Amino acid sequence: MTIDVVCHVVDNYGDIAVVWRLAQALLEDGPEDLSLRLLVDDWVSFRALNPLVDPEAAVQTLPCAGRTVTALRVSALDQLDNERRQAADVLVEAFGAPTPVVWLEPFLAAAAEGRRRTILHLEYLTAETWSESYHRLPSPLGRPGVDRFFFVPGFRAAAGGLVFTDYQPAPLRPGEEDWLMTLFSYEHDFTSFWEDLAEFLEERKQSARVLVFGGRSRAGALASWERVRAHRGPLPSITVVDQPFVDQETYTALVRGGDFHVVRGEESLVQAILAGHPFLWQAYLQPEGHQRVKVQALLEVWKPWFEKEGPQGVLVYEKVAREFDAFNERNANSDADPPRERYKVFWEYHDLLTRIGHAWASELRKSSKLSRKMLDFLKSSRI
Amino acid sequence: MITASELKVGTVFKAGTEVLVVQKLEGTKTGRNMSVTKLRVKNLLTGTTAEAGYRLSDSFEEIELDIKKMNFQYNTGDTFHFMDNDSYEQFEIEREDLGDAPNFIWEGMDVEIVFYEGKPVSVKLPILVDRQVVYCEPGIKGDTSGRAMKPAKLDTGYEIMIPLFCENGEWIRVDTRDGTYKERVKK
Repeated sequence: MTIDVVCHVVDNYGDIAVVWRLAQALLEDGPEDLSLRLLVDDWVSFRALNPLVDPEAAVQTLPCAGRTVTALRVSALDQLDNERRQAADVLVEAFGAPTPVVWLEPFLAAAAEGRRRTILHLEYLTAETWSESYHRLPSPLGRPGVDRFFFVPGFRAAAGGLVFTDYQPAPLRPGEEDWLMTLFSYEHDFTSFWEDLAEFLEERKQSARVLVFGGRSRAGALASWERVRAHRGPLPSITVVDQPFVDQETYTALVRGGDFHVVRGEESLVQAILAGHPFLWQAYLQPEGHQRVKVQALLEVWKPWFEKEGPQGVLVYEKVAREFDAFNERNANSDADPPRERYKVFWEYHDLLTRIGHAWASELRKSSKLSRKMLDFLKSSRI
Repeated sequence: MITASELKVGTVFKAGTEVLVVQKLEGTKTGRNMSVTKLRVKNLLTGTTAEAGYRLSDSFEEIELDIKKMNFQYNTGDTFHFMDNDSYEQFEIEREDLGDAPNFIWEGMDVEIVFYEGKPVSVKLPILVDRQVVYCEPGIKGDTSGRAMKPAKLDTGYEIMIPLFCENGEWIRVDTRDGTYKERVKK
């Protein structure tokens, strides 16, 4: 079986990060004869996540989950020889990426002449209830020999699951501080974070290393750090590292090794959840504050794991839920004056949150691996 | 060409070689940078009905259709009888081909019937219709906010949510696109 995954990088690293993770997961779970190709339009972003990518190459074979994957540059598809252009059995269009015409036409022609072929619209991850009713929804293309479906990632039982690998890099924990934290979100004012952290560490007589990752949250995080330091004076308990962008494996190792993470979008969220440590999620900004609906849906599927911890779990859930909402309300597209964020809950109840996180992660690893669900679906569709 | 965002109940469109008619709009969901709409469609070539999803940006070939003004005469079970207002010719359409239209049509009503290759396939309704409430719990005076609702039955048999202040026997205006109450009307 040959699967092609089409990736169009929209505005950051999230799309290619999920696609590269999906490639690894599919090769972990797929049959021996599974051949995987990635059609990627932005090799600079791809290289940022995987340093083995040669940004100048048109075609490259990359090691992946103990096997290999073929990466194809979208702009060079029409220069490939016929052997390379062999139509796949399955086309996965990730996040609305349209298959280039030069690739789609032979695929449709092969489907019309030979055995049936499948196109999957891989959608964005959501915990909303509709993920279950839209998952595996047919999307008739009306072309002979082609079946097309939506494949909707999600946390709920009948949704498509999460993109992750069974392989987990060894936890990475730079520094000697008591706490290791990472900040990787969209634009945000982190003033409350630094103030709360300073107070918390002072009370506990502890120290923390905070990795501020490059990207959209860096400027806001560093500017607010400077403001708080100017206001409060020296804060030797906090070591702030202006952390350059790291590849996917290193980021995963840091998330596994750290104690608290601010994450965003999809890929870093899933990694934080699976690491089992406390985290705070910033959803991708959407018109009219719709990201808060996504956040509420995530809280809803997470809540039963707090309830298993009894009254204290419920109490902590209320505090965590408030912080998720406050963080996502304070967004660039909102004129409202949101409530002040209070971060201490993530550190004061760290043990409880870690216990809840590990239990949830363990269950997700068992039952919600997207690549397994995708391969099972393709098998049931007789691909 | 027509995009998925323009599809309405009764729209006939061509997806590849398939000719489909929209029987029901089941909602649109928005993710990052895209929206997906869910529909119930009938394949006019095979007669099969199925749920389908499309991205709102998906585009389709438009179909040449005949639209005739007809009068709804009566129904016998699941068969609905219409008469061509010009030729007086009678047509039968099965309930499953009418989508949600049976909820809003009444005997003697003029509607537009959509024909594909000589066969009636759907009904075009006005966006708003006025119907009489034939059953609901007594109204609550003073509550005119319209926010609190109660179940009611219309003279077409359709069950709808209406404001608490509405009374049995009153006429209301209904949006046929989503089957919701719009306002109270005087008759």
